[in-house]
Amino acid sequence: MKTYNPVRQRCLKAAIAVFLAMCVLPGVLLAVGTNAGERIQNQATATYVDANLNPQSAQSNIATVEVGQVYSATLAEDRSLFAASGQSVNFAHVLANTGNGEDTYTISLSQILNGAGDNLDFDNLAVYIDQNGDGVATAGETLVANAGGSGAITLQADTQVDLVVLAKLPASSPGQTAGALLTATPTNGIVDDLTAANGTDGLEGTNQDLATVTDNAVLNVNKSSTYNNNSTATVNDDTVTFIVTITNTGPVAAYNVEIQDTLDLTKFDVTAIGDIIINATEGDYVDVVGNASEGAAVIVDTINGFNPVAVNDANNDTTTGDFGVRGHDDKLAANETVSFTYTVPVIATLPAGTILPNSVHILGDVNDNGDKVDPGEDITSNTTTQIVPQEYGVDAADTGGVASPGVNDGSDDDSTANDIQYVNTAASGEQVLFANIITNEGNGTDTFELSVVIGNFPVGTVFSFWHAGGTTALLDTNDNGTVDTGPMAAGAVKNIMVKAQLPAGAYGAGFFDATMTALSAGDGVTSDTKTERLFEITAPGVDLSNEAAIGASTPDGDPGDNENEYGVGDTAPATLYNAAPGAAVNIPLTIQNDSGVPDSFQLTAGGTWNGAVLGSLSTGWSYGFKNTSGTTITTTPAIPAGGSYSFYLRVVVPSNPIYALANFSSDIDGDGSIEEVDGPTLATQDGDYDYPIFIRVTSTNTGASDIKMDAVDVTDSEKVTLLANQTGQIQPGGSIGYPHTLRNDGNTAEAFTLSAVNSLSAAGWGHNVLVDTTGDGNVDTPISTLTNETVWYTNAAGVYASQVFGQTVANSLVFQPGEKLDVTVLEFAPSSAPDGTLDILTITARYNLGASQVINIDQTTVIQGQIRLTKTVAVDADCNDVADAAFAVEATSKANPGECVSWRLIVTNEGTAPADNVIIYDTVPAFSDYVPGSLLSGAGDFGTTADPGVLLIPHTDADDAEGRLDGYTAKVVGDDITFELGTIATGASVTLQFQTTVQ
Amino acid sequence: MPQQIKKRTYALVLLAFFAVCAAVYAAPLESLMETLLVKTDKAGQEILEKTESALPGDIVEYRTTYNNAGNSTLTGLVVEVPIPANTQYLSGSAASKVPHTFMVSIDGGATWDHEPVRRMRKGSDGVEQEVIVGTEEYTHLRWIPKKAIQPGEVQVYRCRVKIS
Repeated sequence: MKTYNPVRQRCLKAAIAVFLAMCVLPGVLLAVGTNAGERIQNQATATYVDANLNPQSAQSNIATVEVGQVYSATLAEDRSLFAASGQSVNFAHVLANTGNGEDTYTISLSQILNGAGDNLDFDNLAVYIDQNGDGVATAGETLVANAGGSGAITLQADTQVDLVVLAKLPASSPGQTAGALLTATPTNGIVDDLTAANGTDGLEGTNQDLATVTDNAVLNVNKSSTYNNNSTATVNDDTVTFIVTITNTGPVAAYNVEIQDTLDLTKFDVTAIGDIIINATEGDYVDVVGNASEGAAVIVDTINGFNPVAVNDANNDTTTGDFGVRGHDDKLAANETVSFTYTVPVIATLPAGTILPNSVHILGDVNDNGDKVDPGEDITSNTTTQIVPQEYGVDAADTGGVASPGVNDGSDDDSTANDIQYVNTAASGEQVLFANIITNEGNGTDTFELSVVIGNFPVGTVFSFWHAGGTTALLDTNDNGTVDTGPMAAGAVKNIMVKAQLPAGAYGAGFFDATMTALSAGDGVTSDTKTERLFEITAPGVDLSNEAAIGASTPDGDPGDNENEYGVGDTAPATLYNAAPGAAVNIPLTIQNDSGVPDSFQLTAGGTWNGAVLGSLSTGWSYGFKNTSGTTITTTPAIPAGGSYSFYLRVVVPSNPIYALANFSSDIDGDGSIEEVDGPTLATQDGDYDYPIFIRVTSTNTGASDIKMDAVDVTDSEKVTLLANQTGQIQPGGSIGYPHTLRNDGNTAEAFTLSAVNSLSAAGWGHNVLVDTTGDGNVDTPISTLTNETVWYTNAAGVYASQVFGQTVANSLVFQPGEKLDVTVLEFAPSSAPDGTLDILTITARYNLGASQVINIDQTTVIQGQIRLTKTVAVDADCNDVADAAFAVEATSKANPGECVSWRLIVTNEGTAPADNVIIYDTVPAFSDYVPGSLLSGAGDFGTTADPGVLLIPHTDADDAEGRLDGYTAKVVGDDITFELGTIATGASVTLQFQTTVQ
Repeated sequence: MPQQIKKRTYALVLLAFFAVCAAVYAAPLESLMETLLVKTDKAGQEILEKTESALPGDIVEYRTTYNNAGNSTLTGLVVEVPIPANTQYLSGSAASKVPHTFMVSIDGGATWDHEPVRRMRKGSDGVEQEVIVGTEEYTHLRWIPKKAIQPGEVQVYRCRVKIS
C-alpha cells in the first residue's frame, strides 16, 4: 500500500523533495467547500405551445462554473516532554489540508526556537512521515527533512498526514532544555497552528517541540491502530484494533503507572464492557503486592497492578459511562516496556470519511514522591487516526404505486415494485416516460452514472435522462462522458425520469424491454439495473371525412373509427356534388390526426385508385386544396396528436363538354372493367353516371394514410350544331351539293333524325341528304333510304367510325358528345326551272324525340352560268402568311387569340357559258380582325394546298386600279372584302385568300 | 442614443451567443443561460461580472434569457432552472421583470409549491408538525409568465446561488 517515489537527494542544506501517495489518511467534513476544479453545470428548460398548438421545449446552453481553490491548512501541535540525557525522543504532529484543492507544503525543521530559546541543540534532528501513525519514527518511514533543511509534502483536499520529529538529546544535565521548530509553509494562505494561543511562539504555521532533561523516570506512551473492514461492503462489522506501548526511558523506575484509555463513544459502538475485546497484554503489570521493592521511602501503592481490562469508568472517577481500558503497573523499571492490544467495533451508521482520532492518557510517579502531579507525571500519547472507509451501494428501482394505464405520465402501470417500470401503451413516434428511483445505499456521497441498453425497443429509439418532472435534463456533472445523477449523499433517494423517444413509423406488440443501469462513479464497479418495459406501440392513423360546410368541422375523435371509409372498387361515393361544365365544386373536408404525436399530411386527389396508386383526374379536370382562408395548400400544417384540421378541395369541371359528360363511366380501380359511379344512396341515384373524385391524405413521417371517394354529377348541357347555311347557283336540270356537318357539342348523347324540304318541291325541285355507308370518306347513300345500313361518322377522338342506322333509336343515328356527321345535301333543279328562281332548302336535324331541332337553310338560285364558291379555312398560328396545315371546311386545329387564320375562296365557273363581271363579296367573320395586306388571289384551283407560294398574288387593301396582269382587283372597306374578277371562263377557277386574327 | 447603442450591442452579442448555441432543429424560442459573479466594488455597489469560475462561498447569478425568434406568439411558457449540486439557492433572489407566477420544488422537480413551502415533519421530540421548509432545500425553480411571448420579445429570468 505504501507507494512513494524514492527520489531523495540528501544534502545538508538543499531542500529535499518528497512526494507521497497512498500513505495519507483522507478526511472529510473538514474541507472548506466543494472540491477545486469541480464543474458546476446548469441548464434551463422552457416548455411552451407554438402557433399550431404543438407542445415544444427549448433547452438553453449548459452554463458552467468551475469551483476555484480555497487554501486552508492546520498543524498540530506544540509538544513538550521529559527525557533522559542522551535519549532519543519522538514528537508527533498532524498536518491537515482543510482547503478544497491540492496544495504543497514546505516543511522545515530548525534547532533554533522562536522567543526565549533553549539550552541545547539536539544531536540528531529530523522529521519523518509517521506512516503507521504510532507516534514513533520507525525504520523505513520516509524522511521529510533534516534539521536546517526542508522538504515538501503535497496533500489533496481533505487529507492529513502524521509527522514525527525524531530528536536525540546530547549528554546533558537535568533541567536543561532542547527544542526544535517545525514550520509548515503552504503555497497560498497560512497553516493554522492548532495549539492553544498558537503555542509558545504565538505564530501560525509553526509547532515548537521542547525536551527537558531529567534524571527521573521518563514515561513514553505510544498508540497505534489498524482498521479492520472484514472485506465486507458494509461498516456494520468494522472494528479498530489499538496497540498501546509504554516504555520508561529514564534511569530510574517509575511507580503506580496508571493507564486510562477512554473511548470516544460517538465513534465506537461500545455500550457494555463486553464490546471491548482485549486481544493481548505484554509485560509485567502486577509485580509483587505491597513489596518494599516497589518503591523507596514514600510509597503509596494504592492500587495493585493489573493487566489492562475493559471498564466502564476509564478515568477512575467512580462515575460510570466512560467505557475504555484501564491498566495499572505497580513498577515500571528503567528501560522496561509494557503494552496491550484491544479491539472495538465502529458505529455502523458513521458516514464515510468520519475521522476516528484516538489517544491514551497515562499517569505515573516518576520521582518516587508518592504523587502523580509533578511535571512529566501526566502525559498523553500521540493521536492515532483512522478513517471510516467509503462503502458503495446503489439501488435502481421502479416506482410501483398507482398505475395510470393509457396515460403516458411516467407511472408504473403494473403498480408492482418489481424492478420493472411498466408502460402499457404508447403511440408510434411518441416520447414514452418511465419514472425511476435511484437510492444511494453506500455510506458516503457518490455520483451514479446512468446508461440504457436499448434491448428490443425499435431501432432508432433514443433514451434520455431527466429530473423528476421530466422538464430539466440530467447533466454529466463529472465530465466523464456519461450523464449522471450528480452527487447524492449517503442514503439519498433521487426520483428521475427516463424518456424513450420512439422512432416515427415503428409500431407493434411488445414487450419492448430496455435495461437501465446506475453505476457508482466512486468505485466504478458497484451497480444496479432495472428494466424499462413498454407493452405495445399503437400504429399511427389518420382519418379523412366530409364536412357539412367549409370550416364546420365535426371530428369524431375516435382513432378506432374510419369515417367515410372506402374500399378499393366501391362505386358508392361518400357525397355527391352536382355541377355544370365549367363550374367549380368545393368539397369541405376534415382530417383527424389519430396518432399520439403531431404530424402533417400530404394532400392528393385523383380519378382512379387501385389500392396503391392514385391516378389523375379525367382529362380537363383540375383541382386545388385550400385552407379555410382560401389559400392553396398541398400539405396540412402540423396537427397536434388527436387534433383535427379543416380544409376543402376545389374541383373545376372542364367547360369542354366532351370532358364533362353528363353520363360518365370509367375503370376506377384498374381491374380492366368499367365501373359506374352514381349517388351514395338509392334516392340520390339518377342513372346517369358520375365522375369519381378520390381524395387521399398521407403522413410523410409515419406512412399513415386514408382515402375517400366523392363524386361529381355533371348536369346535362345539350348543344347541337348544324353547319352551315349556304347559297349556290344551279343550272336548270342540274344539281349542286352542299356539305353540312351535324355536331353534338353538348355533354349528352343524342339521337338524331335528319331530313330536308325544298320550298319549290312542288315545282319539281328535289334533294338527297347523302351519308357515307361504305367508309371510304365519300357520301354515297341518301339517309331517307336507310333501313339498317352502317353509317360512317367522325368520333370525339377524330377517328372515322361507324354505327348501324336505327340500331339504338328507330330511324336515328346516335352521337356522343364531340361526335359529328358529315353529309352532303344534293339539290336538284328541274330542267324547266326559270332563270333566277330561288329555292330554299330547309335541312332539319331533330333530337330529343323530335322535341328539339336545329336547321340550316341552303338557298339555290338558277342561273346559266354556275359559279360555285367553296370556302375553306386554315390556321396560321405564327402569322407568317403560310398556313400551318391544309385548308379544310373546318380547321384542323384551334386558333388562339392573337393567332392568324387564312380564309380561302375558290370560285369555279361550273356553268356552260362564261361568267362575266364576277364580283365576290365576303366579310370579316365575328371575333376577328382583318390582317391588313393579306388579300391574295390567283387563277386556278389550289384546292386545299397550304402554301401555293407565288401563285397567289397579293392585292392592295385600298380601292385602286392595281394594274395586275390577270386584271383582278380587291379592296377592304371596314369589314367588307370585295374581289372583282372580271370574266371567268367555263370550267375555270380563281382562288382568293385573306387573313384575319382572332380577337 | 447610448441606450439604443447599448441595446444593439446587446442584441448583437445575444445573436452571437445564439448562433453558437443554436439548437439542432429551428424551434422558434431561443434561450441563453449566463453565469455572473456577484461582487461589491470599492464604493460598496453591487456589480455583476460574467464568470466561468467561483470560489466556495461566492454568490453566482444565473441569468436566463429567452427570445421569440419566430413570427407567431408562443403561449403556455414555463421556465425551469435547477439548483445544481454543490450550490444552494439564495433566498429571495429569483426575479424577472415579466409578470409571472413563481414556484419551487424540493423533490427534484416531481412536485411544485408556491413559497413558502410547508411540510409536515417530525420534530426532535418525535411529534409531526407543520414546518416551513428552508430555501436551502430547493432543488428547482419555475417561472410561469402570465402572458404569451410575442414575436421578437425578449424575456430575462434571474436567480442566485451560493457555491458550497
